[in-house]
Amino acid sequence: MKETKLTNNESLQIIEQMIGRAKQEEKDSGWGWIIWGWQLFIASVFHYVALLLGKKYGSLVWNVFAVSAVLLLAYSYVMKKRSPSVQTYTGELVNKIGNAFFISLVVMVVGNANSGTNETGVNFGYLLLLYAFWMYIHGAAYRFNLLKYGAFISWAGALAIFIWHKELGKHVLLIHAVCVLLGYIIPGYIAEKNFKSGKSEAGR
Amino acid sequence: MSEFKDLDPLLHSQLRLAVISLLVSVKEAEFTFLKEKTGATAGNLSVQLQKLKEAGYIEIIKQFRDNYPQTICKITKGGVKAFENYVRDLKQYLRE
Repeated sequence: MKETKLTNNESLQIIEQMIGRAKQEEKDSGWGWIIWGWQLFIASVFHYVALLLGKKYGSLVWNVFAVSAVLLLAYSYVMKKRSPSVQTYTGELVNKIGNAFFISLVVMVVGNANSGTNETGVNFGYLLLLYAFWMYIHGAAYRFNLLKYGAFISWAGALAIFIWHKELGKHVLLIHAVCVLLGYIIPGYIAEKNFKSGKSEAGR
Repeated sequence: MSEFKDLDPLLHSQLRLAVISLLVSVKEAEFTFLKEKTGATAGNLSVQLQKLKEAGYIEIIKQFRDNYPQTICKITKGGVKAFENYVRDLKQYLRE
């Protein structure tokens, strides 16, 4: 781009184009939802299968999850530092809430896995409540309604677990996995698709 | 009879208008971000940023992050006002 004089229509085009490119920074790339979603989904299913087979080490998968979560956080922090930095008002607030969410999540997962109690059912209800809280805020901030619907699915899953956890037993893990699939993974892939198509449009 | 105001000459240039349009949409942006989004050369961008700074439209903060120099740009209240006036005047021209 050169420093040249403009016609009025060209001015308008530049304003629209640049605001569009800046707005791209306020879009969710979906990457986080896909990675976190698959981790949670695999951990839930692994734990469920271990319980079905009568193995006691199933809950240890959550410790592995916590370690990989910390590693992923560190990786995304380094990647953010390397890319050209821009701070939007929405991004600043959402990042801070996101940090609080991830710390709460790791503490809850490690706490649950090491509590020594067998009341895992109710604990998964609390986990779903935490996801729903984060998804609703994130979806509202980035105007991504699918995440808000995901939040309602997680709230419904949490309620079902709180009411019927005794009857459900190990099946709470399946409810958890389904909520993660519908609330995290599917919206994540849709966000990724939208982000990529938006990026190519903004670049025109 | 409608009165036409001259468009702000400082903003009525391709690169400076692009920079202000980007900065009005974000809280702050690094030099490299502006360079990437505008596709300008580093030298030209530096010159135009300096002009915007001298006019009081943007603030430039030079700092070190992890031992690397970093240049952060922010639009000022005066810059926001100038941009709003520019858009208002531009609309007036386009309506005619």
